[in-house]
Amino acid sequence: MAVYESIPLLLAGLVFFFLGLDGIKASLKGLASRSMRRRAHAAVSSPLRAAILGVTFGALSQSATAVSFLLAGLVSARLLPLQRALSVVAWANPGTAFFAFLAAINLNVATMWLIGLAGLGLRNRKLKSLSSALGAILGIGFLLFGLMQLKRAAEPMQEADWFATVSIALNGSLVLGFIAGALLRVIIQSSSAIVVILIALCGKGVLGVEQAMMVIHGTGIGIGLSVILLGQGLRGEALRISYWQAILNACAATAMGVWMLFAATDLVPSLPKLLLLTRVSIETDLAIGFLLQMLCCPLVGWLLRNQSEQILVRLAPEAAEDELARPRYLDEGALEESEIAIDLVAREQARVMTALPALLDRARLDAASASGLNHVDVRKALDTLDTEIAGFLAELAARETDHDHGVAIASAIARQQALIELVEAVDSMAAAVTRLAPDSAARMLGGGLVEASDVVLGTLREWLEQRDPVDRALLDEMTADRGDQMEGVRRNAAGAEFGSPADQATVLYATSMFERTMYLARRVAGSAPSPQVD
Amino acid sequence: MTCIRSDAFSIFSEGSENPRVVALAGKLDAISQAVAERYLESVVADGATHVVLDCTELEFISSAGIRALLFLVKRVKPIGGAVSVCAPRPHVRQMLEFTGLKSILSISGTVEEGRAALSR
Repeated sequence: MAVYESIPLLLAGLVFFFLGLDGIKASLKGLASRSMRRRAHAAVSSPLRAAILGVTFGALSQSATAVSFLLAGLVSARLLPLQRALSVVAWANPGTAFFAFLAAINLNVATMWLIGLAGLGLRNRKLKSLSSALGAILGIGFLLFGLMQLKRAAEPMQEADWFATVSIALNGSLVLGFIAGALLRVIIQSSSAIVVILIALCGKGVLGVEQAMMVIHGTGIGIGLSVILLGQGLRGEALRISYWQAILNACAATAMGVWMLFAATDLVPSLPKLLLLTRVSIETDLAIGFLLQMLCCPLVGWLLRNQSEQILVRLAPEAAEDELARPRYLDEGALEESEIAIDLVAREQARVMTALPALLDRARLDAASASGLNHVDVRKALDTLDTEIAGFLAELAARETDHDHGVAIASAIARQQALIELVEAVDSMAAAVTRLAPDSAARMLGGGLVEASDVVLGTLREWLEQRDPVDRALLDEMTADRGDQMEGVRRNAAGAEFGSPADQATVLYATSMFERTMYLARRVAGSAPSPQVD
Repeated sequence: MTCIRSDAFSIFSEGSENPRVVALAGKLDAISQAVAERYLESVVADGATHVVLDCTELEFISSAGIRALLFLVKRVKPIGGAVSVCAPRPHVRQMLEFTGLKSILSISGTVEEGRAALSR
């Protein structure tokens, strides 16, 4: 394959990899029901289970990179808690070493099966209920297919004369071998494939076993670099998974590399020398060296278990949007006590109200009031949080038998439904206003609607938090029927001097959304629990 | 009372009678909100229960600015007071209308009309 053929293959490989990554994340979010989460949590409920799951993931995917991003998707979808996911990631590394022993596994064929069956399944209407699971499988297939293309793009390199020259040069320096391993892993994207190449080179006598082992150790640094490079779009807990994989592999690689360097001074025996005692073949030696390095990953993970959270939080601080998406008060245990559960739901709903004005930021007249958060991320976070609250309430309702509690739960469900619709109305209004021509009369009017909505939402939040009767009186005034008022605004907006027909249509839509915002704010205020009377 | 003036906003009042007239000028937004609230707090602490806000020179008001006015309403309402907004420019008037506060912050054409409305 010529270079001009490798480059498009490299690009296509990257595209499939990222398509797969996005597909996994999106589909897993669809799967993230409370019952599925319980099952996933049960699958990693003990360190042993997490280890078994990790080794299985690693063995099946044959890619430490792929496992990192799969786990990042599971954590993003809140199907797995971060701490357990870190264990799974650590144990996935030894799993990837199996390939070096079982070179007969044809991952290419398995990947095609995944893509073919999952893709056809998605097109089958009868399997609609499985669409999230099939989407996740298709995503894994695309991700692995992408990695395969990246490997294929690197194949011509192995045949090139310069590669053989470099291999000979590696015999002169262990450090050079280590660096070459790191670079090769970034390019070829498969440690197992590198081990196979090294076996071939050792077999031809081009490379010594010590040098080949050093190249293998260097791949650990390459895994870390790959994960960090490919994980640039991640953030929060998903990014922490990437960093964790990078740290584990870098530490394991460094430990093994330092051992090799010490062994070169004859202070300690090298791994190949120790393996000479039981040597079956060069292939087995290299595979064992690779496996030992991969086993160092969970060992490093265990050694860092008390510092891991601190290190990762420092490396990948949680974004405000991620913090918002995670329920702060909802707890499985609270489902047993309805009164407490309803109170916790009210607190969680107050969080939605606190974050809601950030959706208006992009359309404000007063930029200094903006929260600085990205409205797309805030919307995603609010949708996630709303889904969590709604799921919690549904489960609470299914368990409740007491009439009074049932009424309170029904009220909380009504409030939740109004909140979900309120988020949609506020976001739609802000989106419409941003479409208006800048500095036009229509934009000023739209901005006025946005600013007024902000006042109402702020007062609603204060009412929910403090239950001051003055706030309630203000809210009643503010959220009174706006039909006539908005009708007047629409009549004015229909005038020719008001702007383009597109702006006029947008203003009409924005006023409708404003009316709806006022109506829904009133509904939320009306369904709030009564203030406690001492 | 003293006058507080910044680059884009100023607030001042004269005398100590009730209703008290407080003049606002410039931009009342997120930047000037805290200044306005502090000043209005001191007006209430000075004994004013009925406040006429002269908005003749107020060019712009945002949600943060409206919140400063609501801050005043929430201070004077519990003690039987009231707030009137006088001579608002079209943008300010529109903001008050959109917020639905026309009846809570009674709007008058002039300061005299505002005084009269609060004295009734």
